[in-house]
Amino acid sequence: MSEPTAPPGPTASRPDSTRTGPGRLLVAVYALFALSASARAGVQIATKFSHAPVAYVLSALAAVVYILATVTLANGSPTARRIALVSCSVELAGVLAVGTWSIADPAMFPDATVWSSYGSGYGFVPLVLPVFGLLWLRRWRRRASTRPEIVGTEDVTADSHNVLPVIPRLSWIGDERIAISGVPSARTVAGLADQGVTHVVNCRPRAQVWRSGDLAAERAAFGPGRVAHAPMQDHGLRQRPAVWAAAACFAARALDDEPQAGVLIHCTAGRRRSAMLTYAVLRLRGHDRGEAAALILRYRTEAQLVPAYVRSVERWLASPGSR
Amino acid sequence: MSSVNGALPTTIIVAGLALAGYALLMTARNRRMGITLLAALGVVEILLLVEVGLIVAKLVSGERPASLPTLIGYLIATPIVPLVAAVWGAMERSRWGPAVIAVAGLVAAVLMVRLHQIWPVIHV
Repeated sequence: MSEPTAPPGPTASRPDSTRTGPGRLLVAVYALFALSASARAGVQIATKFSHAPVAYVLSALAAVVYILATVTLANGSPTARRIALVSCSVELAGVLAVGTWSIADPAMFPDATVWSSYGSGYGFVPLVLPVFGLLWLRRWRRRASTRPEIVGTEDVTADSHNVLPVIPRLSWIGDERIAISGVPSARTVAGLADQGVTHVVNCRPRAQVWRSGDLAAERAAFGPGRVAHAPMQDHGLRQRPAVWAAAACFAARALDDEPQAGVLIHCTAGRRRSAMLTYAVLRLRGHDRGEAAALILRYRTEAQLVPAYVRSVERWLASPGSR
Repeated sequence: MSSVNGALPTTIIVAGLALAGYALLMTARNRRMGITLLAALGVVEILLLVEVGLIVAKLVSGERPASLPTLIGYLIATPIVPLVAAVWGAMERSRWGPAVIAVAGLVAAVLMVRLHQIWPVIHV
């Protein structure tokens, strides 16, 4: 079996949002039903509405509920979770009511809806889906009430589907003058200098820094010449050097040239992309593979060195154009 | 009620179910998506594209199903399913990536059965 083992610990057991982890499966199935129910309702209403108006209107209602549930579960903000709770409840009530109605009075339903006979035409998935949706949302509500950092309103609006602590914890990597952290909010960027940060490498993709403004805040606080951007998606596959190598060189040069420099390398969670970039900088600074990895994992315990990311760095270091 | 006829759709159903079974095994063993699952997904995608191509050829030759819009909807949706599953599998670096791919395998099989219910004369 060549499939890599999923990492144990935080990512496996604690998804970041209602749309990750098991939520990913839920959103996928909801999206499927949103698509098929709305396509079905659209065709039925457009081509033969008078044939079975009640069934077709109910199909359309089901489609709307599925779309709403898909979007809100994928979004995952507190408001979205409340809307998701309502749509999953309506969905459960709908499938029970329409299921019963379609069996009691088949004449009203000359043509089937998604919810006819409790969704038997769809393998009863419509009956099971809202139950799983409600269970998943309930798990989330419990977790929200036990994790105080979730209420950081500024971060929730800035980056609605990643629940972020308000002040990210900086992990200084030994005496290397490199720190790893999650994304600092616009409000906390100004305080970074007090913690010894003089340069910043931001590893978040363009769309995200544009939406939450973290890169702009860093450039304003430290000056554009002291901030580098390595716009990476956290896909777990090879990272192209064109995206990150310049930022790694920038950080290594700052540390070489300025004895007082302190470089903060951050992504969103401070786990994978920032660990990769830190690895690249440590390698450029002369540490061997084992030392670089050990330093990162020792001082940033939640860091993960994704094998494909490490390979990207090593392959780049081995290539003639790297230095 | 029509049955699925032809070697290709039968192959797709078997491949889709096999993919789903393998992906569920990966989920149960707490593996994330790797190159094997991605390749299996690619095989299903190619089979689906061939099936869609054959049906389009039949449409071009002038034959029509009872509900043309429905068929076209299915023809558009069918090849997208494995692509979306691959993207999600790559984004979700946990056991739930293969779980999404298992759904895609099941959906590929179900789509074949549904296609033949919509247009029983597909003999490809």
